[in-house]
Amino acid sequence: MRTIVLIVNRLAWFVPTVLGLMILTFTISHVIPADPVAYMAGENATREQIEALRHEFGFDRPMYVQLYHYIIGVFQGDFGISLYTQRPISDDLFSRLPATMELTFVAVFLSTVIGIPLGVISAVYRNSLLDHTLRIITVSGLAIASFWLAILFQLLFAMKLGWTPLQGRADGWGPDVVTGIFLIDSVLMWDWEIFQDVVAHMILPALTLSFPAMATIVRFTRAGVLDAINSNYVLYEQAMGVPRRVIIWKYVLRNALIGTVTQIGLIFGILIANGVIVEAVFDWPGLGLYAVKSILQSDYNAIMGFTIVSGVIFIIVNLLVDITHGIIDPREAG
Amino acid sequence: METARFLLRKLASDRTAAVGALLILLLIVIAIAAPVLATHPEDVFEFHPSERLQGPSAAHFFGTDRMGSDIYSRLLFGARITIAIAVIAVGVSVLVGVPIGLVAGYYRNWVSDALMRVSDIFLAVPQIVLAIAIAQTLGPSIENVILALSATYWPFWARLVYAESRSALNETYVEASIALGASPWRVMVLHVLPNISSAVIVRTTIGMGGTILTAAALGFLGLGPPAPSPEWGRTIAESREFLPEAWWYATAPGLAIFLVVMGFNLLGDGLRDILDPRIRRSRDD
Amino acid sequence: MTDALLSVRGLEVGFQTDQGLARVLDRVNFEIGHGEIVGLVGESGCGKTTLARAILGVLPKNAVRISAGEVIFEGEDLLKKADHLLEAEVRGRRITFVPQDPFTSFNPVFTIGAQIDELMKYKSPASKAGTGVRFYGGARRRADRAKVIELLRTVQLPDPVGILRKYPHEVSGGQRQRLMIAMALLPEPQLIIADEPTTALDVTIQAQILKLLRRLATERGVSVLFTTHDLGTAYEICDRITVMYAGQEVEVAPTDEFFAAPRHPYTKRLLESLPSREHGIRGIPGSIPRVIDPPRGCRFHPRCDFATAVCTETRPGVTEIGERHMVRCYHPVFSEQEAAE
Repeated sequence: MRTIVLIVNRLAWFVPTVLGLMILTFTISHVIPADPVAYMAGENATREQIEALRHEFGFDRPMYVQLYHYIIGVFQGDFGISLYTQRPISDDLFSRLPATMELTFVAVFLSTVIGIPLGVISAVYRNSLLDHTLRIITVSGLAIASFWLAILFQLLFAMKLGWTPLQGRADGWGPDVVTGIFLIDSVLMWDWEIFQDVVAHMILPALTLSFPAMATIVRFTRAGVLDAINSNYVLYEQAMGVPRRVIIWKYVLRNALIGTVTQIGLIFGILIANGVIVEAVFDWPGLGLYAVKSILQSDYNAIMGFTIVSGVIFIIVNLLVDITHGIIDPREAG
Repeated sequence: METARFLLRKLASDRTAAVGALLILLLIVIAIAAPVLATHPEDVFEFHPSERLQGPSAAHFFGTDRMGSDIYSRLLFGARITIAIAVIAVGVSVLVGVPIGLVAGYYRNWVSDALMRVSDIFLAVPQIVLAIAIAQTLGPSIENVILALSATYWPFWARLVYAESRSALNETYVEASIALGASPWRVMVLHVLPNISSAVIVRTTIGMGGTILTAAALGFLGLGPPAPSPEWGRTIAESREFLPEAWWYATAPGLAIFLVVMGFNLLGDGLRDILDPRIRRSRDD
Repeated sequence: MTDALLSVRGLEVGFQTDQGLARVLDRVNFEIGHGEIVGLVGESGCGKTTLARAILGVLPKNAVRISAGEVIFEGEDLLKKADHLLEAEVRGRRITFVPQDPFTSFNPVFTIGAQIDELMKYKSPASKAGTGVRFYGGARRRADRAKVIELLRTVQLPDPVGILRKYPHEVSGGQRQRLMIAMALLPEPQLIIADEPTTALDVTIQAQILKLLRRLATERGVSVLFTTHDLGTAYEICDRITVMYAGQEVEVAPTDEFFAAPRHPYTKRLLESLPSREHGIRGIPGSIPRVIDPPRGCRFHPRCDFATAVCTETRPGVTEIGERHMVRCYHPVFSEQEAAE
């Protein structure tokens, strides 16, 4: 019951926030100094032709009318037409979504599976050589520009050492598309070579993307574990002779993880933000690369579409994190 | 003056914070003294195609770029751009966001709710995504980068100050002063502001680092000051097609960004340990 | 005492701090007999909590320096025992713990029942000490559960079954401390170390908890080491009282004698500081010494009316005054009435 109230509560904010986001992007897109219609019409268009085009697109209607239609359109999945490709933006966006999702999930997986244990060990062996080394690495990890790290990785592993391909998601077409997630699809095809190829292409982008996220997770987990270790309940468990490994891996970890889970929203933000850059450098055919290409082509509608989609994804993730936190931390509702 | 001296003494004793402070000082010195420190100051505008893509040497510490310009000198001038963007963008967002947060925190009416809703919407999207949208519509220039960064950063401060104000306002001594008839202005500036100032200072320092990274990313994507600007992100983007041979071309500006951001992060961490020792001491001791 | 259950001799404990070595315990002697409730009384910072933790062996390893002494428990020196053996055999089994703050001593994200189960898994009398418990289930678990419910009833908790399903923040302070007492009794220990167990409770609840603890301890023949800064609570339940000042124990006496005829100047001052109708409120001039650079000899000498040169040089040895009443002072105080006799 408590959970249901919690979920309803959080969901109530979802719609207004998304609506607000759309208004925001609409406002931004109408601050354009240049005239997109003139651009679309081409260099040799006459004034009448431009005005006709403007009328056809409805750009001559009052702002609020345009806004209204824009919002309706988005809710129906219509983000307008790409000024460059003349295709529906929604098609472009959703065809590239799986690539970004795959990369993001692999990055999340890497960061948590590697980051959390490192954070625990760093805290338990506080001030040891390992701890200091890790702290230096994590602080550095948050100071490195993702695009620079990506280029350095490429320079070292792809160009100089030749261990991995330079960029892209696969050589050729990749596996036959079933889910759109190449890792799964290549397994479904039972083709070892294609699977290897997919993994090889994924290593560098995934590592680059997960680096700052991993650093953040190590830091937060370390802090959470330290807090827990210094708590009275750990002292009590120690005094009552509960085995040390049980104290750390069961009791301390659970408390520390509650704090870390709430940071997943933050981490997702990092992953989306850096995703744009990483995809651009590695030519990874996802939403981020699409956004970058749209920038270069001044495709305003496409940029707005990308902003809304990534914004909504981010909002949803935070919503889920919020709800999860409310469920796993019994103190929340009490 | 007392507190300043105390602060300096504490900073000196915390090694990592001292390193951070030194790096920042270095950055400021370089930015100011760029014309003097640069070996080829004219290379910010001029180019010498015959000397392009040479490796590091005595004449060119970090080699030359695709136009034959001295990378070292351009890097030094790029420091000016970096500082300008960081200071102005963060400064504006703080100057806008903090008062908004204070006011929203003090009054409990529809205005403060509305302000926080608007902030939430901005914060619902990762900063760089919105900044890209704004910078792209306005066109590539240093002013537009600053504008895009400020416009997407102020809500963070508004939210932070709002939350801190709320808890500060719950303190008994604040309640007392309100009961004694202190005006809202007085309460906000004299009571609430000093209490939240340490949190703001710490976040500002760390925020500088993050802003520089975002600004460099915008420059890398081509949304920053256009050619021939020596902006660091742009330089890295330019270097890509000449890799792996011209490795110095990408390494130098990247290293510069790294050192500067590290400096701010270390300093910020150190400040946090000093100014907020009661809060989360275990975080980074 | 020849057949003491626990005997601390000459324990010297220091903590490494930024400003130097804090000498928290200065060659302390302390004893508890079988089935005895001994109070360890002293102001905050006198070292009573450190002593309690030293006995359990749960002082922070990287900062603590134990430079001398022994802690003999049932004939064995706990300080020399390997930590994993202490963990398996002694802590939570033969010596248990009742903490000062029952709220923060419970893990907030696990149910009370889950935490008690964990304890029984490793420390139930039905299990052998030190055996790695792989699987906890079946008959033993049911038997343990029954014992738990029974003990919860004994500590007067209403609805024992329901309380096991609750989270720590969902029960009251008094209930939490009753739970703690129950958890301390479940392993059927020989000694319970209760570190200021009533300090965090409302005054009205304090008396109930104290009576409960005393009754259960005496019924089961369990010794209790009871630390407190409140003389009133010590009077309530202790058989014998040890007074500590700044890391030194200064007087040990059976409770009645302690309150009727204290001998050490500090003890006297302490008792006099209890507000009374005749004298109002009296404090002790001066302040507690810093343990980084403590006074030499008897650490109370800077504030003592009777201090002489010898008090500033070497710490007084043990002077026996009557049966089981000992004082460490060169100038123990006798009232004028007694002096006249």
